[in-house]
Amino acid sequence: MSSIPYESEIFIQSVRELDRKTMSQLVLEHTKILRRACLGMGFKDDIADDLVQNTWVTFFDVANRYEGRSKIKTFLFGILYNKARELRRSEKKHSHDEWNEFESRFDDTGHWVKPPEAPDVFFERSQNMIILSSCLDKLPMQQRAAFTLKEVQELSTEEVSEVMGVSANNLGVLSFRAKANLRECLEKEDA
Amino acid sequence: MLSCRDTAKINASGQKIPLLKKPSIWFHYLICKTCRAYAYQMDLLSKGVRKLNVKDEAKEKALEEKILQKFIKNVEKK
Repeated sequence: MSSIPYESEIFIQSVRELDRKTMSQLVLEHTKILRRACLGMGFKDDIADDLVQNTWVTFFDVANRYEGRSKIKTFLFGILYNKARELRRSEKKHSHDEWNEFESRFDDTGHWVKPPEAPDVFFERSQNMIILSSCLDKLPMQQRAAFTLKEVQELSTEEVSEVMGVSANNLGVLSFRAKANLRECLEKEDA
Repeated sequence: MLSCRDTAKINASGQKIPLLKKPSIWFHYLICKTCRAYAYQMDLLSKGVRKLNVKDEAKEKALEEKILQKFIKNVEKK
């Protein structure tokens, strides 16, 4: 399919006019990654489909106001993230204090007290998709979204910050906590 | 010198490391096997989760079709 460069004025104009060819091109190029991001954030198949559809419906509604200030991909992920957050808002808050677990691994001077397990043991465990999947399910929504968008969808730090509406520093903290929690969980599972 | 805690935090946050901080991180990894193992594990986590993200081409295609139909039906008619 011949495509117009996303940064061009013609493209922005065609988005605003909801041009059928442009919209088809966008749907075909972004639906897969949006759906995979939903699954990565822990939504089941059918809910992921609904979320993606709602994202597009909202996009079609607001496309006439698109000014090209952010990339289309970031714009779409922003809508998706907000929809996902709305959906998860009703769920109960995580009370688990993940921070203490990380800190308890170090002494006052910052040295390891509880070192991580041997790489080969950990490697086998991280290859166990059932354990990994159940550990992912235990992550709070924001951490999981940060981890999925950055590590799985491979969006840049700037893009994820924009999508989630957090600063780069905050994103770093979220990313760090997600990874730290994930590895703590993997180490604990079947230990 | 950076502590193990600092190095682990920097590694897991995935943020861009300032140029001036890089040598001290490299030096820390050079002398600390435990932090090297930790960094390796963090890398494995991302790879493992990527594998979890199963691609279901048929469902993706069906969803694309549905969205395009929705666009034609609801948006274009307006």
